[in-house]
Amino acid sequence: MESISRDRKIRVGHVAIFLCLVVFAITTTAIAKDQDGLLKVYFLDVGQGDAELIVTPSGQQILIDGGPTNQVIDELGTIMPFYDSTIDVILATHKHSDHITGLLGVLDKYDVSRIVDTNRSYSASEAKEWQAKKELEGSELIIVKTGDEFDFGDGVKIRILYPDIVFADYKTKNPNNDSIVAMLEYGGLRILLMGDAESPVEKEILNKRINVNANILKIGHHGSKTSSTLSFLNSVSPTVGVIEVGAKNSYGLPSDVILSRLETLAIKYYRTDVDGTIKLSSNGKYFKITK
Amino acid sequence: MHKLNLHKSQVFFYLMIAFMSGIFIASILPIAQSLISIILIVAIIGLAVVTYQKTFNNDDLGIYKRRLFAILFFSIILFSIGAWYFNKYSAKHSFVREVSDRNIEIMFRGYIDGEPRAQGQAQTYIFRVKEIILPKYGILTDEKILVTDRLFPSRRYGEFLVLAGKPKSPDELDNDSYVNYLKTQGATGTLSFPKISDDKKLSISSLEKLSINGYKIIFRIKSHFEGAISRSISEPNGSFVGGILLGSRQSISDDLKNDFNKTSTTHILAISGYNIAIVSAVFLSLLIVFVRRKIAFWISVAGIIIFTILTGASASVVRAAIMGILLSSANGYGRLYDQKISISLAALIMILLNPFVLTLDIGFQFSFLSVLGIAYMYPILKDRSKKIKSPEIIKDTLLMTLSAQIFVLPLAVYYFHNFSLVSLPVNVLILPFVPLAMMLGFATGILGIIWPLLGKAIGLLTWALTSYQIWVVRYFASLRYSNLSINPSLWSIILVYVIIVVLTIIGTKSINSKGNNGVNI
Repeated sequence: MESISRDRKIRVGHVAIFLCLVVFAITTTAIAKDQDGLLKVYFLDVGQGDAELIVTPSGQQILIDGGPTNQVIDELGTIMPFYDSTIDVILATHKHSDHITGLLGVLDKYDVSRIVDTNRSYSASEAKEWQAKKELEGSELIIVKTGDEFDFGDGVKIRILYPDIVFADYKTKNPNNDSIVAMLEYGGLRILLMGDAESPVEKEILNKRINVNANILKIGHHGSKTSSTLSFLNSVSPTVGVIEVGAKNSYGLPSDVILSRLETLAIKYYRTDVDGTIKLSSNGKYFKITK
Repeated sequence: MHKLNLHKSQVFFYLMIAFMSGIFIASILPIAQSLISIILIVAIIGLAVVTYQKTFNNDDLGIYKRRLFAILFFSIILFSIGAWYFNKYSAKHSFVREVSDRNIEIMFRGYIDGEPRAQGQAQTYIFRVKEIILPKYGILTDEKILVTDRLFPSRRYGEFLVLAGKPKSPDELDNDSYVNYLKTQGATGTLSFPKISDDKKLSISSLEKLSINGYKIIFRIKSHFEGAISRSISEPNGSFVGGILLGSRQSISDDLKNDFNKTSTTHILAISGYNIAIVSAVFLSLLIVFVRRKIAFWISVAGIIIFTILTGASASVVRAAIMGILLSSANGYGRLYDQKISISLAALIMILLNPFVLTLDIGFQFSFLSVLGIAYMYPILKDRSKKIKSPEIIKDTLLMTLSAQIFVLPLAVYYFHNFSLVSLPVNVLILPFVPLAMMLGFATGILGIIWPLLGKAIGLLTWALTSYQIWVVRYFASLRYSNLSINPSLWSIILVYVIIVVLTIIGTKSINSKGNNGVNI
């Protein structure tokens, strides 16, 4: 190992500066090209779990769930600009580890302005960790209930269709049925995000005569047969379904029953285990899906 | 010809080699303790006979024979002591192993003795057992076990816990590489998903308490530092910087890790002697402006020690630190004081601490081979390529990579059945910028702790430079013929090493005969 002489150091420095400029030039063009005034929804490939990133036309970022590991951070790294270390809203549908574990890592890495959650607690250790971290983050904490609405400007809205507020002594039987169900609206585009909600929730929503009609349905509970009843699918009548699921997962998801049900109803579906991260972009009239 | 005037240091070297050979042979072949005793006695008698005045004449030939046989028998004595030491170490009494055989639920009291690592849906950590509680009585001990625990709640170093579960001893496990890992970690058992409760009453010596508290502070600083890097640099670059600076590889995605493997560049992600030598070279080049070269060298050695402690002083980092100090002593003094002695002394110390590393720890073997490569092959290549005109930095990087690779590659091919065809161009394209990336990453972390905004500003530069490196790795890994899959036999690998050693000796002799003073063999 020779000592690094002053002369050589300058030369490495020059090359390094040049390389940095090249990297900046290439990436900033790519980022500029991506700012096309469209709404984008990314169904992230995070293994066996859920994570969706919504980017509004003006660039606000909304992350719904974080999957079971820190893989979500790598996915965000490839989508978000390199200088961006903030996320506007994080929404945790419910407190199962395949939805909130990745969010814990996201809270460590990003500055988050608002955290949206329900007041339905769950006694598992990951839920306790989430509660503690959430309170430490210093973000605005929002508890939502059926009927709440978020306006992100540019005509992008998120409506909360489920669940209702419960009393503090509420004990959950099945956290899946505590899932936030939300409708994302932009012009004529409607995307229904089901979280892990199962058939009782679908029934309750239908009974309340809430308009669930949507172009795109994030299929509930990773395509398990506990969700996506025929009557519910008929009411939503989507053209496209998205199943967020991990390759070779031990639960045997998605269920063949649900897949054939989607096929009979002529709903074209995408799966994150097969297609990887799925990107949807839309101007409010048309939408395009890229894998 | 008949004179055997070996320098004292030469004799010392041969004796060290004899001792290590003893450990090596005992770890691949079972040698009975009785056999060792017999060899030892014969060798001692032999030594007594040859050193007796009248055995050999007092002429030149006699003195030569006497010295030769004395060294020979001395070596045999040390060889058997080495074998004996290994046997003794591997048969060390373990209460954990003993209670594992009973297949009942047992309680362990102690504390977490290392940083927990998240692995998928679980976390693993080394747990230091101070007390084993059986249904009727308790045993005081001081052993390490590897615990697999649920991912949450997140555990931290130094937590005092009571674990209840059925332990398994390494002998019961089927997975060989896992068993080897346990042995090199010095763990005598494993425990999966135990029932855990806090232990507030465990009493330990005040010295141990002091050391736990010291490490707690170190790990806290480290996690602040890592957090600052992670918040300042976008992924996957943030994890990459964490890898080259602190050797923390767990947050790097499997895809990217795979690409590093395909291009034979994983070594920059581990804390290796190379990384540490860079840290100290940077230290050195800054210091040399203010103080004399030798003083600067010693300050940089102090820097390495602080760095080692900061990273948690795990066995692999300590090894890298010793290697790093060796390499930078070549840097500080122009050459190694006595390469042969210092390299084998370093090996000896590590083997004494845990003799299993010699045959089981791949990292240990790679570290040594690359240091040997840089110590012996680099001067030869440098001498041969004197006439080739190219910028120093590129030539040096190329030659150093090449010399380390020549020594490491055969063994790497043997272990991983993979031969990277793009290793050389990738290493040459990214290695020259590793020191700068490390410096920028270090600045990002430190400034990020003090003033996050400034950390993010420097983080952009770090991001850009590491982006270039990651692009190079990804591009070459994506080439169709980036690597070949081969599976050579052990004998062919040994043959390759014999050829390498012979060529190195011939090359070194030819440099020395030219009157160059660079290398001291």
